[in-house]
Amino acid sequence: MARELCVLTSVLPDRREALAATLAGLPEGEASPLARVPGTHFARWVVAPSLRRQSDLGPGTACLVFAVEFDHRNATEYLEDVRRRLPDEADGVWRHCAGYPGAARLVTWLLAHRVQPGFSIVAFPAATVAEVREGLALRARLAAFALAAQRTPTEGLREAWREHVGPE
Amino acid sequence: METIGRWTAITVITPIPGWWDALLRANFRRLERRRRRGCRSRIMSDLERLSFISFAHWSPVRLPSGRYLVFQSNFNGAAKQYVEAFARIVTWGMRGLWWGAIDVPGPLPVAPFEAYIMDQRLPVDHYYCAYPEASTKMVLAALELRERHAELERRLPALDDAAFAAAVRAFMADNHRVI
Repeated sequence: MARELCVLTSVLPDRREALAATLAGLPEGEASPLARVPGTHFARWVVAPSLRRQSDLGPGTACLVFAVEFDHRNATEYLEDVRRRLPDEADGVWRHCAGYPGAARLVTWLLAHRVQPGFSIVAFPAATVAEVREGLALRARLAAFALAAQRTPTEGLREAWREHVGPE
Repeated sequence: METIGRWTAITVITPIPGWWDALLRANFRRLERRRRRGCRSRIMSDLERLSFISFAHWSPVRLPSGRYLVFQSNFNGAAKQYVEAFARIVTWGMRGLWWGAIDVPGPLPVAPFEAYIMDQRLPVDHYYCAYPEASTKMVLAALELRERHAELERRLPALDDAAFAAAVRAFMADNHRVI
């Protein structure tokens, strides 16, 4: 079952550009460090330049938003996995934030800055990443089989099924 | 980098007054209780018509600098069309979420609301998706297919060639829309 987590941490006043550069330097797609945490459906880091109200003319306070949808049983387990599987990247990102306590206390610190879930809509709440990927792969195999089946006689259909779709 | 494959991420953080924060929290608790009882709210039914959304979340948050509503979503397609669809299809839902927020125009007419969201959305610094090339519709179809296929696979080993061919052809014909 997909769950969500959103964490908002304040960026140190003189570190906004360094944080943006760190995030810009992370590899994308399957090379993203977040791809190393199995069960991550979607994840994002967003630097919000200032959350000050327009009526408050004081200096802006930048925030870092980390938002993720994941399969783990709870946010603690997910963040433990983040700490374990991308220690360097996690440290490289959150060290620019106010109050960052270091890698050893990362999980507790992030949970203390969690935005409690409000109202959510989830299109496929019961599906894990593995199930989604498996379904998509099956769909592609069945599409290949559909083409092959058009030119396969009845007696050869079992073999074509095994070849394209998998074991029966 | 707000897009990856077929997906777009949107993040908007809107200041809200204390009274709206309290009201939103009370409403969210009520909606959650209803959801646990299996009741479907109108906003949920309306939102499900927006078949290009995978996840969308609205969360009120209290920070030293004030109170805010954090909105974030993953969806297929362009942000402008997404916001317009939200405003037109889930009009009352959008009012229920943003009506008390500071300086947010109502969802109708669409143009000012769309301009607000497009102007306030935050650029994404790093974005990851586990299945970038699949849309919400494709994922839902694949999950449905996976279940039907599992049921078929249980029957296949016991069938002779003719029955096997008939079962497989029937399966393909029944599911050709989602394959």
